Amino acid sequence: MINQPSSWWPQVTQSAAERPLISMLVFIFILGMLGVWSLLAADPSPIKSDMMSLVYETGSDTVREAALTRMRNLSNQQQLWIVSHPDRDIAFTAAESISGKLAASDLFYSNGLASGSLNQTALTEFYADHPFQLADDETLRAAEGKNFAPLISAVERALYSNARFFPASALQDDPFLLRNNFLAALRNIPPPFVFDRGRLAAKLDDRWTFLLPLHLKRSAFDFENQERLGIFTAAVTRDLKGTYPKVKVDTIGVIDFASVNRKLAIREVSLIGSVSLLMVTLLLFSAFRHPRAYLAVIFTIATALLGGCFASLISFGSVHLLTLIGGSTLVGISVDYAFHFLADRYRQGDGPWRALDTINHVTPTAAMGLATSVLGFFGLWSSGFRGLQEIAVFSASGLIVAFSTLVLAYPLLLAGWRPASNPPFVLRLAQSWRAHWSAGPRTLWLLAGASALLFLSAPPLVVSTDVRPLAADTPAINKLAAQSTTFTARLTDSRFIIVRAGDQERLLQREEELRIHLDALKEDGSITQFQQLARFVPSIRRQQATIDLNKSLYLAPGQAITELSERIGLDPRVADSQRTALRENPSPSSLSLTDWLKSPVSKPLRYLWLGEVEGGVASIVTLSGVHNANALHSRIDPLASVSVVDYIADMSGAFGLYVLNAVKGLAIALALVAALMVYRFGLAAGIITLLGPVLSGLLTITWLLFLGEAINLFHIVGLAIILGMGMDYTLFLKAGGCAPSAALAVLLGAITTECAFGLLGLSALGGLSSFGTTVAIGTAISFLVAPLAAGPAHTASVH
Amino acid sequence: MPPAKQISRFCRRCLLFVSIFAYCLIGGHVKAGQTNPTHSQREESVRFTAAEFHQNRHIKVLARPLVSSGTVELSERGFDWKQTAPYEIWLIYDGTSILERTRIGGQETTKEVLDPIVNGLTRTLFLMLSGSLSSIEIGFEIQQQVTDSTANWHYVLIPRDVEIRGIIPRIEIAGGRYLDRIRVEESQGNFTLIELSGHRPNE
Repeated sequence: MINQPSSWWPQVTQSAAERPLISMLVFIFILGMLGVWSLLAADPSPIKSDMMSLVYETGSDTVREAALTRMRNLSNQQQLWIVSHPDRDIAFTAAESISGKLAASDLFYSNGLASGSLNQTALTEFYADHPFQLADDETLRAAEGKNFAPLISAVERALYSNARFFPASALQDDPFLLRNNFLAALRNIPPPFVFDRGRLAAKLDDRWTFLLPLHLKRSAFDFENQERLGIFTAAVTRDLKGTYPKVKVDTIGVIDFASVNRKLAIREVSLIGSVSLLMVTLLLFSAFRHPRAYLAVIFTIATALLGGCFASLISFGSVHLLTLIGGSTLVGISVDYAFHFLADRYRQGDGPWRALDTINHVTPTAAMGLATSVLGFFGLWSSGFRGLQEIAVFSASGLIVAFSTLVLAYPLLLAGWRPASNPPFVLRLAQSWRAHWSAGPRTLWLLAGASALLFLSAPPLVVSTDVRPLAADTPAINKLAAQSTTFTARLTDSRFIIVRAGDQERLLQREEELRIHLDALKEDGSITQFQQLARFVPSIRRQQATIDLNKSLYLAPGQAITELSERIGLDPRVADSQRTALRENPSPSSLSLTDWLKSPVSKPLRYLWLGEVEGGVASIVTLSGVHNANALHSRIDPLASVSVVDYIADMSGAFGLYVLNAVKGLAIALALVAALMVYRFGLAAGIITLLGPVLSGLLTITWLLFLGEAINLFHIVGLAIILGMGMDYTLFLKAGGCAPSAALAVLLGAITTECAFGLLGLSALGGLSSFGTTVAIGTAISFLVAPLAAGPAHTASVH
Repeated sequence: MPPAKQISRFCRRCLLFVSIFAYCLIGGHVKAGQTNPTHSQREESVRFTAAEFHQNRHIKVLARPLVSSGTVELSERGFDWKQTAPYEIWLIYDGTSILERTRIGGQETTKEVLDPIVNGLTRTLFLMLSGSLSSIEIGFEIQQQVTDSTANWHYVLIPRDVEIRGIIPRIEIAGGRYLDRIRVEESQGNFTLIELSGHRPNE
């Protein structure tokens, strides 16, 4: 039997039983104070839906984290509207028609509605002050070694090629087309995209697709913003369909993912909560047949959920939708204590319910059950994964509040309650189960041996650290993911490069060196495009080299300009004018990165500049269409002060760390529970008590392996819950001994828990599905194994 | 004029020049309904599959025009501009992307052209070659000139935008049974003349 509680506890329970109204008021006051505290601690938008915000960064590299935050914020604020039609002109016209409405809407910044590219006019005007410092890579390569014959040939061929653009007047200012080619290099866009009438377009799957990149004014995770945008999108699409029935309009952005996930979460929370509540209602009425009992349980559920929310707000400032879904299973767990309390009524026999007797009888075991559950949630907490930590805090706090209701609220809520005159069917069922399904420790050890054999014969254990379990698997999400791969990743891949250096000049030089490698990767098809600061602002070293090149072309003996003039028949006055300009100002001022960053032309690309960090400076180089990540890494990784950031791979790496932490946390929780059991029951009985939940966990994993599941983080933290639940069942059955009331409570608790986690197992969110499936299987096994671990029951009769 | 100012002017001109080709395509089917029936007839009559071309680019600062020649092969979606003289340079347009294929000393090099301006210009040229006046008309006012023979036709394309008109006042396209001539006038008296001959009909 459970040991007697410490001396202060009987005083608390006696006071609560004798002054039910005061104890209820104390409970409400404490909960109210927690509510006020949580309101003070809560963020302005306390409900979150950003999945990525659940993952703590694990590294200590502040530059990398700053870059990740920059890229994530940028991505969060963007939305891409996709207008497509088989006919190019109709698709364009439809896109134009929509763009007017988008510009007029207050949902987006209107300047984001341009082509999504740089403002070419402003850009060319900006470079006008630096006529001799700008040249493209190809031209500089052609002029290497002061042998200008290849350069002259290239210029001559370019003049005759319709695949090169230069206005006729360009030759007047730039006969070698150095600046012309520099500006052309800035215009390049990654295939398969083209610019058509000022808009980004692509032909995909025999449809012409025009892209309208937009910048959201408000957060993608703002629910009101999501709602307004949804209504706006539907209205615009409807209007457009009226004019162009075959036009398709799609949108891609973090806001679209967030919106779909939010709707999914609301649906799942409603479903799990409602079905759990319905199941609880049915069980309550069949077992206790009294509205007062029902009221007490609803009170427990409601206050447990409130307590969970308050604790999350106090701890994290917000409650995530994932937490609400995971925490909605709290409905199933929190009622367990209420069931034990109510079932104890059948132990008391006839007459009105005696609060103090029940409290004294149930709470010691419930407290130990609570301790083991909280230790189980400690396993979740120690995973390091923010999402699971939130669920752990939410659920542990909810359970503590649920436990508190037993002592502080139930004396008032159940005052004067009498049991049903006839024993309910479920009580008889529970009694029968307890009486027949129990055996000695030998059976349990035999079962343990069989389980171990089964585990050894199961398919090999594969641990998955894939980040994708986070994502929901629904048609809407899959469609968004496919579109994201088609469009967004081709424009800006999730992988990018961080470049670091001591100062701006060295940074630009390093980017120029990096460009050689990136061009090679482009050449072999490993990537399609990249964007970097050094494209727009050459290093001073390179600018000086370009000035020197111009001097060689125009001023050096045997000038190249003379040969070019002869070959193409250039007016001598053009060469004279260039010579004069170079002689009058032989050392023109350099174009600096600081000036460029201050200029409005840099606005769309300023995110590439990370600024001063850790005693130096850093920048981002974005990539488009990464087709061969291995080639990218093998080329870039050896470079000094340059690192590829692969967000998805890093997340998976972090998940691997979380898995390790979760296993450690589980081991710690198991050790603590074992110590508690040995302390309470002695070595042999303690081990036997613990064996039930351990066996449940082992059989659950074996089952999952036979199902072909790769074990992920969510499976492992599910084991922590199984430990808590299994201990609960065993302890209550052990404490209840021959009393059928304990068996009834365990049976009711198992059914509701099974229902809650079974529903969670059907969740479209892969991680939660793994979690729910694991706990559902584990709970069922725990329920079956608990009587074996609790020891044989004596024959008992129902009062 | 200081070089900085010259470059600024040059850049503006570049942009305006490009804008013409962007502008000429803007508008879509809203305006397509206004197409002159004569144009529609013309669109049907000018289709051909191949022709010889002779291109002269007259630039004032050059003592002689940039002359090139070769053949153009037109397909449903694009065209191959196979320049053989003075250099072998092919421009291959499939309606979406452009490849530049060059041969230097027996060595062939193919490169994808990613410059959106070239892409816009190439598409405009394709619309002219394929006689898709309804698409061209979106950005240009199309005037039909009286010719000496009823069998011949001659259109003057005037950019609708006043600013663009200041840089490229007009484009002329002319022909008889087929498109024979394209003349693009640039600023300062510069112009490009493309003459087509030896058309092979679209069977």
